[in-house]
Amino acid sequence: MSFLEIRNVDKFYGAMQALAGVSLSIPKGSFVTLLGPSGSGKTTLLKILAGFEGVSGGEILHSGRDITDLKPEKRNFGLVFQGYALFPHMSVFDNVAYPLKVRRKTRDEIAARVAAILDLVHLGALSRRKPHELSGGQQQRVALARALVFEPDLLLLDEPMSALDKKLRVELQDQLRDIHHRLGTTFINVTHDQEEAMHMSDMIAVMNHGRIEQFDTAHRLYRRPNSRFVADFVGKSNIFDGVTQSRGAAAEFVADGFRLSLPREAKAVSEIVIRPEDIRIARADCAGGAAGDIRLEGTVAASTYSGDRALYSIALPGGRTLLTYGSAREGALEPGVPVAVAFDTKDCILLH
Amino acid sequence: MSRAIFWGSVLLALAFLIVPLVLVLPLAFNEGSFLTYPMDGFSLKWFAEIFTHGQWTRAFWNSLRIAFGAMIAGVLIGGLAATGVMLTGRALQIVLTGLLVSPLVVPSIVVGVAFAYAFGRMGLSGSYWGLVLAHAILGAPLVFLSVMTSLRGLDPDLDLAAASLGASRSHRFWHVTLPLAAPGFLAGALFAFTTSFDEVVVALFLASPESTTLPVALFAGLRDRLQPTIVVVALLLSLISFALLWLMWWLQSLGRPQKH
Repeated sequence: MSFLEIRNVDKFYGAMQALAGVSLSIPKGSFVTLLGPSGSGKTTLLKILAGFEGVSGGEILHSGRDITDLKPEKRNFGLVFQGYALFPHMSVFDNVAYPLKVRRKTRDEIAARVAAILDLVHLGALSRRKPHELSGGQQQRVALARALVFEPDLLLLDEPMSALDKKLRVELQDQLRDIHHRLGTTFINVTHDQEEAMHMSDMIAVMNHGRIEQFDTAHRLYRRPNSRFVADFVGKSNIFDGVTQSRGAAAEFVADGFRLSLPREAKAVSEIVIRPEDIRIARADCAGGAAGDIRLEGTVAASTYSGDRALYSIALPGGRTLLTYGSAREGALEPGVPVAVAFDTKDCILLH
Repeated sequence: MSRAIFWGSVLLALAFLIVPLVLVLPLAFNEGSFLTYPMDGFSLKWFAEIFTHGQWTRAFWNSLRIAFGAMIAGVLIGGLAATGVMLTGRALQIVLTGLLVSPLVVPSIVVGVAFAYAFGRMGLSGSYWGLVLAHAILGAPLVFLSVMTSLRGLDPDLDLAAASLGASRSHRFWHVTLPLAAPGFLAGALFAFTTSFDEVVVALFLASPESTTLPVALFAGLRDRLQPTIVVVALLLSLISFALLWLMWWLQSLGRPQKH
């Protein structure tokens, strides 16, 4: 029995199905992210976990207890809202003290616990301020402190970084991970930002059209996506359509411009995925050039130079383009330069 | 050019509203006992007459007591109605809002007749409580509307946040919703108070000689004795209304910096 068990949850809004048979087992103490584009159902699932929305079918178990119809105030789950939802008429201290006052803690205990949690989020000095006197990042940390101060069984985060600028976001991601390590509380985060998901989470549930596409570690999602959607949504990828042909005992994947021999046990493959960093690139006139099981020729269509490396978009003769990273030691290659690209069979991800 | 038109129309509108007042009000200080220009001289004797004459002070206290009672009852009715209506669905909200605002739409003479008839049967006619109740029903829609506006402006996530932090519905109402909607309640209370304080038509139907309100006394004075006392009362009423308007403006500016 896992800590939080979501079983076959359906959710309809009128005729629109927001969630279709969602099941997830969330281990205690883990940092799980629900990742998906807008409209994928991730926020709906979060609202159901918080108790703000009912389910149309299925159930949710918390340590074996059915909490599907439990009111939000009885769940003991912390929630950080996208817009923070700080009480504007209360100071930082009173905001954070609110859940403790509701639980009728003594004045001394409230003061001690609020001070401790504000220290944890580095806001100890600002406890007398009102929310509107704080920056966005500070408000976010107050919201986090308020949702953690009563030691909830579970912390839910609804796109907590979406309103912040990029630099602050990365800083807060590190802080959030650090806080998760220190407290050991189970965190469930919702985001559409795959970098944020990869950076913070132990496990990621990729959602699309109200379904869980894949629930896995960041590494496995990236290296072993089980669908075209996951391969496309998580990281940059090159996806080739093709057909599988038998050749005696062996099988071959035939794509536009190249063939790939498949391992003996492989079932019919409909697409293969190659990550850009697995593709080597060299100028066509360079002796030796790019080596690999599969070699293709093309021309540079566009390049994005980022100092440490360059991302190339290569135009292949078949009319399609390929993304690949190349060294940028001598600057990026100019558009129009003929190049050779190569990759190995072992790096290809097979989708069935 | 457009600036000239703007200022021209503003000045015309202001003149239209203010000139009659400005022309009448100096007569409160008239030495003579007629409401005519030229004035016979400057005097405060009509003010003295008002404050010594039992009829006016009694009417003033009646008005104050009734307005105060009507305000409290109106805030209770309108405020509770608004809080409740906010919790219902969209369709029901439209129907209930229409019903609760209807006293504003019905002509006050109809309301007056209806109250006079109903209260007569119930033995409330002419009593303090009859007038309080009638004025509360006239003031409640104003409270309702102003509280609704306040509640609509609240971020619905605040209530959800309080719920997720463990607060029961009543705790959320007293500690989150009510403090944040307080400007709406206060503005509504002032509306209810001024409505009752200025109300003539329904009071004419319901007031007995003992429970006469200031506007009714003023109306009777206009009919019987056209003296500067009436202008004095009008002047004092205007000053009270201005004070209340200022108070409302102040309360609203107090509520504003909390939004962000």
